[in-house]
Amino acid sequence: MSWGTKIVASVALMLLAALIALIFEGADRVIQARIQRRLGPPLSQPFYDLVKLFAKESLLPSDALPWLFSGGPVFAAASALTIFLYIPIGSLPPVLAGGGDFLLALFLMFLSSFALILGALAGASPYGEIDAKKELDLIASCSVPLSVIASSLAWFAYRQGLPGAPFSLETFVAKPVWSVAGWSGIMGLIILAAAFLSLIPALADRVQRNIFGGSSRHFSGRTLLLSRLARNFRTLAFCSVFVSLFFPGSMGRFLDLRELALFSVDFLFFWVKVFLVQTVAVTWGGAFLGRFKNSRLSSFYGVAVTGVALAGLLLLFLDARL
Amino acid sequence: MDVLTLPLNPSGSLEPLAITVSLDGDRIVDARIRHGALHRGIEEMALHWNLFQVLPLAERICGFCSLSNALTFARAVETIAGIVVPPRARYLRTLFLELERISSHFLWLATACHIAGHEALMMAVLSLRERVLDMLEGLTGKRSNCGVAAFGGTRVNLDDADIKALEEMIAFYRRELPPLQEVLVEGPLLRFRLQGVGVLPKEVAVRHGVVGPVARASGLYVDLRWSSPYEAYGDFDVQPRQVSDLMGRSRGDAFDRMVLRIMELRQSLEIIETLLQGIPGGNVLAVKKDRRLAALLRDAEGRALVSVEGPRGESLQRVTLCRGKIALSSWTLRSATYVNASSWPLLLRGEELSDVALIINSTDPCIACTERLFPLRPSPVPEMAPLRLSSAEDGEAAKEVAP
Repeated sequence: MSWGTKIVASVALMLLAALIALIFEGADRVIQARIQRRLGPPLSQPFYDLVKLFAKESLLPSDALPWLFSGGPVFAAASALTIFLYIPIGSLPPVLAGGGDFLLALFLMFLSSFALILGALAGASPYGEIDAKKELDLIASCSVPLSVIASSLAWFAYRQGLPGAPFSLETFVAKPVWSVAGWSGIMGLIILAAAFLSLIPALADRVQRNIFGGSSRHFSGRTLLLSRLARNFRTLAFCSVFVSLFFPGSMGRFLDLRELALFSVDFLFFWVKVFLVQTVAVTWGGAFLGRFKNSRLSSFYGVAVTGVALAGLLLLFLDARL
Repeated sequence: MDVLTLPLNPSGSLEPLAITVSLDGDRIVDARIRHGALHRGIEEMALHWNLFQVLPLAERICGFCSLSNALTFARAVETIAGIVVPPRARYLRTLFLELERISSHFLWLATACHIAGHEALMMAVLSLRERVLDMLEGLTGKRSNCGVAAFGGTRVNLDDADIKALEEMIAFYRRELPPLQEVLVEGPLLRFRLQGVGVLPKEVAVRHGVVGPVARASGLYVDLRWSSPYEAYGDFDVQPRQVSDLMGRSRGDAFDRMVLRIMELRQSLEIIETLLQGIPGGNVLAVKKDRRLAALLRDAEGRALVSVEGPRGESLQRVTLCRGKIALSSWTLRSATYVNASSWPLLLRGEELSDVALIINSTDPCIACTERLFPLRPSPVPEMAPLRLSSAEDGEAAKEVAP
């Protein structure tokens, strides 16, 4: 692929991902409203919000560091969107195939979170300081189980001889990891998938923690719009990575399709899977789980989810040994 | 210790309050509450109006304790004027007070679920509350500020169809409350979030003089319906509910306050059920003609201190009337929240910042009722007016105390 094609494909994919993120956000709100026996907003509400916030003035606090306060949300949204360039969408290879792996995707996700935290901190508000501390607390507690999951999967892929680089998402898409696991391996993979699923709301900033509004309350107008978009893009990116790692199955091959039909069906099937994952991890979780205390949330991810991830690793280890 | 002091603006607690907290990390080391954001000058307005106009005004102090406030005012005026409320009206007042308690407790439960982040539960609770609001609408024509209270009785009477509808409502709640209780009390959702938060030990509750469900959840055996029964409460066995009866022990935390309110919902249903079985016949107004009532009120003189056990606790009013005009000389109100608010800094100390709204809400605050205790000008109190205290038995001559 030439550089020109790569740039065009990258822009097209990022625009498509942004569109899908907004549609999924609308669907998420509609489903949550139905669960809560409310009428709820229409599916197109995120688009109305986008237009409204885009037209509004962005207020800059007097003591703020302007470039960081305004640039943080931009950087957060951009880095979250960049993740899609490294994810294989259905049967299509990543736009930047070979340019990055699972670890780079995780790095970009953390970068997106940190950019938003830095933006909130640059507002020079004491509330921003508190919110930033909470965010950092949560990200730190989530990073431990996430690294256990990532290294477990990579080690298992390498050990079982999956073709390709162990940390590459293409490796997991080319041959599903389930196909090389025995019974204890399958159990281990289920546990790791559950642990990863539980991490999605926290890392995508979709878990309810603060009645005051969280870090996005410091922004207004376009910066608020971008901070919200960054959150939506991160959610979609996490769900996409989850699908690539654990459910890379191809519907096109199952239906014995060829070329364009195969790519089209798998492309659509991929987004359906992402939607289902988002519905389970974010929508249902948001509807039925309450607002957490920050300390309890950190200990939940830092201790309980890490423990579960280690149990998954142990089962994978047993499977590889046996 | 690096302490950060910051104001949580009125939206911080979902109530129009100015809260300033000092934080060590995420932990609250001190909290100060400042009232005054919702003072509307109702007392001042009342001094310029006649008593018949003040009664609906008293009802509009707050939408959720509207009957409690109006009834306390009406009872104070009746005590001064020596008006004896007919038995049927006493029963009807009791009925509406309990319907108001059900409506208020359901609303509190919904707010607690909302603050705890359980929106689906909140909507479920609000849909249950609709039934009692529909009932109030059916009986009075309004869902809140129902206009039930009148001097010397009630404006509303019941017929057989109303009683049947009330029985159906009780049957509905008997069917729907156990599953709700199972989710809220026995389930992990709210237990996980509320247990151990905002603990108010019994001895501290006594020291701060807290009232209502907050006091009862801390293990205090206080309830005006039991200790000094008014209206028809003397005819029933209204024992203050205690969390330890259901849970085995009481810790005085936010969870216990929720459990207690659910127990009180059941108690209110029991009271209404018993009340409907023995509701006496007769008039619902002691003085039917307005002109005669106006003459009685014009001749009334004195002060009365009357309290009613509202949904949030003791609602107390001091009313002064002077002879020759159908108007107030002075009017002072003290709501349950005004008393309970003294415990908020204590409840907040040592808790996390994210618990502020949860803790303050657990005491079921009503700022609209609270900010009524600011005298705007010295009121012309008669020199030798006797202070009358509300009697234990309605209709009995009020006790006179030398000023």
